[in-house]
Amino acid sequence: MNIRRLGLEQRFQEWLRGQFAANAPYNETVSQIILAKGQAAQTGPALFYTALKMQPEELAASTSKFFCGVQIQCAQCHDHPFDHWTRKDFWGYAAFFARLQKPLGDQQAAFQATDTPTGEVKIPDTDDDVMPQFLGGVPSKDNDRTRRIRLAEWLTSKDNPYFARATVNRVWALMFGRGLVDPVDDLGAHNPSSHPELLDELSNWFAESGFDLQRLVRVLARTKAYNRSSRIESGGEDAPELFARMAIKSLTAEQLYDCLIEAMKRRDSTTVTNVHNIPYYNDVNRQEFLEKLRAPTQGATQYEGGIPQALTLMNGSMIRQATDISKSDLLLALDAPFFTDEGRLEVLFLSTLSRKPTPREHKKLTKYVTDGGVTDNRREALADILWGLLNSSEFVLNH
Amino acid sequence: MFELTRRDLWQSAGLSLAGINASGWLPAIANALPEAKSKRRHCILLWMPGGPSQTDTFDMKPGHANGGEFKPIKTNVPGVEFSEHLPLLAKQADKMAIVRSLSTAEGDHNRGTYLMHTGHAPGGPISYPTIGSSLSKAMSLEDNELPDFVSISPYTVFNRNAFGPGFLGPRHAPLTVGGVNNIRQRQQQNNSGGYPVLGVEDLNNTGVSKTRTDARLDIWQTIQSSFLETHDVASPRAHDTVYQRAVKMMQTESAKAFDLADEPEKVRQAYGANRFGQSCLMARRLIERGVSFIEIALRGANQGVLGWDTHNNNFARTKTLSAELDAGWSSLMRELDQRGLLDSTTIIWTGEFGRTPKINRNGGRDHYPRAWTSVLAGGGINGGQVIGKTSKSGETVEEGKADVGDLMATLCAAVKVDPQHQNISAVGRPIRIAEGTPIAEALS
Repeated sequence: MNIRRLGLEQRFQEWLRGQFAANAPYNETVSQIILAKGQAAQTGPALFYTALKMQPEELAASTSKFFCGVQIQCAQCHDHPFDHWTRKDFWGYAAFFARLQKPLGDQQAAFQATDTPTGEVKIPDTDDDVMPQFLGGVPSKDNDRTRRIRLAEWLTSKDNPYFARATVNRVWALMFGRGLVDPVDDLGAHNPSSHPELLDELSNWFAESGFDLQRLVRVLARTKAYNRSSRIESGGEDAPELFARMAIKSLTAEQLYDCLIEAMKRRDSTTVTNVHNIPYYNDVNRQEFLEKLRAPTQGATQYEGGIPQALTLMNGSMIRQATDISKSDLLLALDAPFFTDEGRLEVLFLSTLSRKPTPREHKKLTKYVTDGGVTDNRREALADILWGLLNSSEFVLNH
Repeated sequence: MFELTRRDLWQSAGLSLAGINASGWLPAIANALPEAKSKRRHCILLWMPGGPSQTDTFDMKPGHANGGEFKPIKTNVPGVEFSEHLPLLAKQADKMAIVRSLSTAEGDHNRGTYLMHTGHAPGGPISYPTIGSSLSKAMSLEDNELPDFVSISPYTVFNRNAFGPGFLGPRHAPLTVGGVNNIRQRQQQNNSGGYPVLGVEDLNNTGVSKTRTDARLDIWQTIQSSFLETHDVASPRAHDTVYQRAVKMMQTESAKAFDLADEPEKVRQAYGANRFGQSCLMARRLIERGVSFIEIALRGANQGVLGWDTHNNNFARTKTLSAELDAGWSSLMRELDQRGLLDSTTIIWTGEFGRTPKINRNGGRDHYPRAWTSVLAGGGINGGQVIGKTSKSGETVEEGKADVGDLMATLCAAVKVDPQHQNISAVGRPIRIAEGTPIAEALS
């Protein structure tokens, strides 16, 4: 079943947003996802189970990738060619999700994250049940506590060798465009970290901090590494894993949408409720925009857009609204008589690029505003400059 | 020979020589032409959503209860017969290889659509690219004004993921023309002069004059150059390049490919005054301008009822659809052939599955993936033959059973792309464009 189509994806995001805003310890957030119960529609974390159709193998692949930063799903069908994962590792881990009630149909109501007393997984084409075993090979004997509870405890413990490392590495990658281990979901001896001591230290500190994500972000944001410029004064590109320069990152489709809304100085996205009583965004603009611009990877240092995306950003409904002289509050505000044309230009630059115009831009564009552009209309001239700003690489990329 | 081709190209583009010299982009294309001519290949997917009945089109069963109401007619290839409602295609059977022995595993619209677009069953951690994305990526010669992959009026409702670039990323997504999936566009379906509207999404900003657009681009260029001077690395460069290409497309003559009003009324009529026919005509214009991959859907005139999904009233509905198919497809092949472009253009006709040979009590046919038909035609294809064989009742494949992977691999081979060519998925696993073995006898 397609949770995106039902608007449930936003519901899950809302739940996560709440967790992050409240700075819930990250191990507790992950624990809530692993232990989620009940019907997807009523609870945020259970949507994780709905999206993965309650299938042990998909749950195993996703949780190990997201929370432990390892790729064990390749071992679903064959022993991993580069890493040490075997099919037994994969299916042993999947066994933690074997005792879930199977969905009763394809309807949303049929997906209930409910534990059942029985249920096993087998390696395909074999007859033997595989008993639960943690990554690394330690078996977990069945007792009166559910398999999911035992997994959650192991997964989010300070002693788990993967969890803190994988999380720190992901947050690092979000901020720096690349992980200390790259790619972020392929940790292991075959793919060493560019800065092993740093990753160890940060991981230990993060676990000791009580998995405090906000503090982690603050710490990283204060590093000299994060405060380096992305400017290149001389020479060419250097090795990205040295972090000598801030990487230039593409905004995700969601970030870009929010930036455009911000640039319009308009609040947006009224939350409404559909017939199933599930709140969802009824913003056709947002949905269309995301559908066209969404990329498979996040925080990537590659620009992944193509001609259709460029056309949408230059001519689509979002940019038309953002540069509409009767709809953009930013453009309307610039009508105020106390502004000079220079001041108007500066406000446009500051609200889109967070910088003042360069002397060259200043000279050329102030004149454009004063002349009323090509239509003898100051407002339209300002809209034209705003259009140029919103389509610039400087606006679209995080640098 | 080369001079003639080039002149033909300019004439069909409606360009004067003065116009050519005025714009800077043309010499580059003209210089590239002799080489491009030998290398450039194209592919057209004629997508039949709903799943067409093989028994009433290309695998007739006369004399059997399953055969139904239609009569077979002879084609220009002795021994090969089509439905009586495909008379124009029958005259070009020598260009077509009819694969009658397809057998696949998905009998649901959603799953079948994904399978036949990506070569893989849905589900699982990997988001596979639609065949247009992976082939256009491999076929692109990078010197083209227009995007490499254009999708005309796609019907994506069954499974949107089946039509996307998957792990290849949005750069390999199709440029959509005349899409009707989003709400705004559904309101713009009014006909113009009896023809459906087939416009490129967001090609222009309607409220802004040409002069103003030029001024905006000049401002943009100023802001760009400040940034690029100090940030001359891969991602800003890529962003800038993509924009430059999009701007070119907005401003230059190549965007005229999308304006069918250029075509003589007689030609437009020959293709059929319907969405599919006009899409075929546009495909010809796009191929003349170097586009690698084009997808077209035939859904029928009535948007409310899904064309080929003929659970009831199969014969009347298939007859109507066949008329549209026959006019559009046959005109497309004829005109490509006249321009010397059919040799480099491979066409594949398929739906998500076939339909039950047995006729149900509503005079309809239901979903049937076990034994059905796809058609390959044009460049790289050894036309004028039937491949594989179904039983007298049409219910089982008796010879040459082929899976979706084999069909995709054959298509790759026909457009000279190595089916074993691997792309790296988002999870780091190398993925082949097509899993399967090319059907050797289908290839020329």
